[in-house]
Amino acid sequence: MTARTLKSNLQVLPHVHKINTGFGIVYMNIGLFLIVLGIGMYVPAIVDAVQSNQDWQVFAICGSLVTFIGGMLFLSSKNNYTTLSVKQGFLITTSTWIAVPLMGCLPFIFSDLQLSFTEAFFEAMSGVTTTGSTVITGLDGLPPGILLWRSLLQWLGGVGIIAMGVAIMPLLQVGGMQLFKIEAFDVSENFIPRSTHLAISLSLLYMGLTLVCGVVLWLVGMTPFEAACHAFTTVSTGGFSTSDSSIGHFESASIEYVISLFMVLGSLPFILYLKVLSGNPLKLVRDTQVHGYVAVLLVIIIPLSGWLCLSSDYPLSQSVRYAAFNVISVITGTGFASTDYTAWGNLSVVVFFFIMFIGGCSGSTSCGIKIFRFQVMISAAKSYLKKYLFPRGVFISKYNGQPITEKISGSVFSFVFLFVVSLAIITLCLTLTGLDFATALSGAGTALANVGPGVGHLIGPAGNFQQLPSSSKWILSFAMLLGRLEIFSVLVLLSPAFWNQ
Amino acid sequence: MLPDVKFSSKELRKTILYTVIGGVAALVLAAVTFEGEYLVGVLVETVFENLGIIEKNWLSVHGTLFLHTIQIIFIITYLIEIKVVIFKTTRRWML
Repeated sequence: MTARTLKSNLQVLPHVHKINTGFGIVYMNIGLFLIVLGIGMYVPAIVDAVQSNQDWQVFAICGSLVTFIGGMLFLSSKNNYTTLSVKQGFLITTSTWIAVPLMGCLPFIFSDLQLSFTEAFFEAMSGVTTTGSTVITGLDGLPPGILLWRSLLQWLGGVGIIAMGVAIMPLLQVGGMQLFKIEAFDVSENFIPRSTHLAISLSLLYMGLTLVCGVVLWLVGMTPFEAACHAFTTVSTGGFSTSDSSIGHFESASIEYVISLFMVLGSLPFILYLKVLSGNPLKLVRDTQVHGYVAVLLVIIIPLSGWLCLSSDYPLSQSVRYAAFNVISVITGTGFASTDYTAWGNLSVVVFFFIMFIGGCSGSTSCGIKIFRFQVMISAAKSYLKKYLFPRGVFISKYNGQPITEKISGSVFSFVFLFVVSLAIITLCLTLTGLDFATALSGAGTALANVGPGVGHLIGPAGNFQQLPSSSKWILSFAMLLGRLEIFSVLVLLSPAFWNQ
Repeated sequence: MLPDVKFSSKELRKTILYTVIGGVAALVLAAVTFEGEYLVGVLVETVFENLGIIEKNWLSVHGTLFLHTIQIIFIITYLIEIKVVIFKTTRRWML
């Protein structure tokens, strides 16, 4: 068949989509996200301008620059290609999560803070990935624009994470996420037929939750500005605060309980909220993942409260308050602290180190290994045990009524294996930069699980990441990206086979 | 082996646009609801003041109580509004 015949055949088949094999489509999508980010920078510019703070100019200029770069990328690559491959899907996901902090860090460099590029990138990556580790000290005296920008970065990151967890990851089948493939999406050749409707609903829900959280925090004693900043970072399970003492600054039980409630709401699957609101009110209480999540929270909070009450001077009510808030904060990966929980004793250090890896539910803003993976592993382990006891029996593990196939369990086990291997390698790399083993291990853990504070005096809840060497900050920034994109999405790009296909 | 999934770049562009629209719509809805309720509250207070049900300058003395009441009413009404909007958008879905 000659090239001319092939061309004429393609012309009579209008339904055949052209597949873009270049980077144009990647640039175009990065451009779109940068436009949104650039417009977002005008919000702190307005706030600073109203407060007569000179930093408004920095935000306005950075916002214009980022919008311009985004616009140029978008326009230069705007073409009529309609279909892109899964490789480009991975590439767009990872490159966007690098480009956004790269541009989002500009206000940190040019504002009065005058952070170095390394520190600014670390802060922005920590924001966008909703980790919450910070290199900035003296937060209480900072201008409102910078505080708001940190919170906004986390909030915008949260939107991306929900969209990824609900729509992209289940299709890319990363780490067993195919369990959460939505039926409405399961149409080949027509990706996400209702993605626009879903986007509107999720966006309304996310913004609605944030606004309600903000008003409730305002009601219980925060100023409107503090309430807005904390609402952004609570619903996104990010953990940036407006004070160096985090939530401990407010010394208010009601604020801690409100934030605890919204941290939990932010770490439940957002798609379940849509199911509840669309007329299936029992979907949330019948979900296997939600059962497991609530059980894990109770199993950790109740004994820890009892132990804290017995081993310290705190009365029971205060023990429950501190244990509940800090456990929820660490498990959801938010990273707020109401007190230095590592000062409670060795048991608390061990408990908080391990629970940082648990994470919340899939399709939420939280990170970590996630509850459903533990449930799949337990179910698979039970099934293997039964097979040993009853070799002729047929045992099918199920999750939320769906059978757990070998492919799903294999995917989950490989994710956990890669998580542990990544943790070991990052710990090793951090040790090589001069950190002690405990700091390196907890730093690697907190970055991979996107929690925020680690354990130990240096990077614990009472510490800060500022004192770490620059090389450590770059390694931790990479670890945050790795953890946020569920490891596979980044590692697949490092494989030569990915580029050769 | 990578999964065989095709993405539509047009849908992706539309999704980003609609996400922004959804967020802005929720913000506008909240602002209109809160401001509306605040103004209605002030109006009711003025009417009550003129009728002599409450003392003069009640609002300046009980400003915090008034604001808290409006905040609580706003939370309830806004949650209902969000529920109605999402219900209308998603009711025919097979989620």
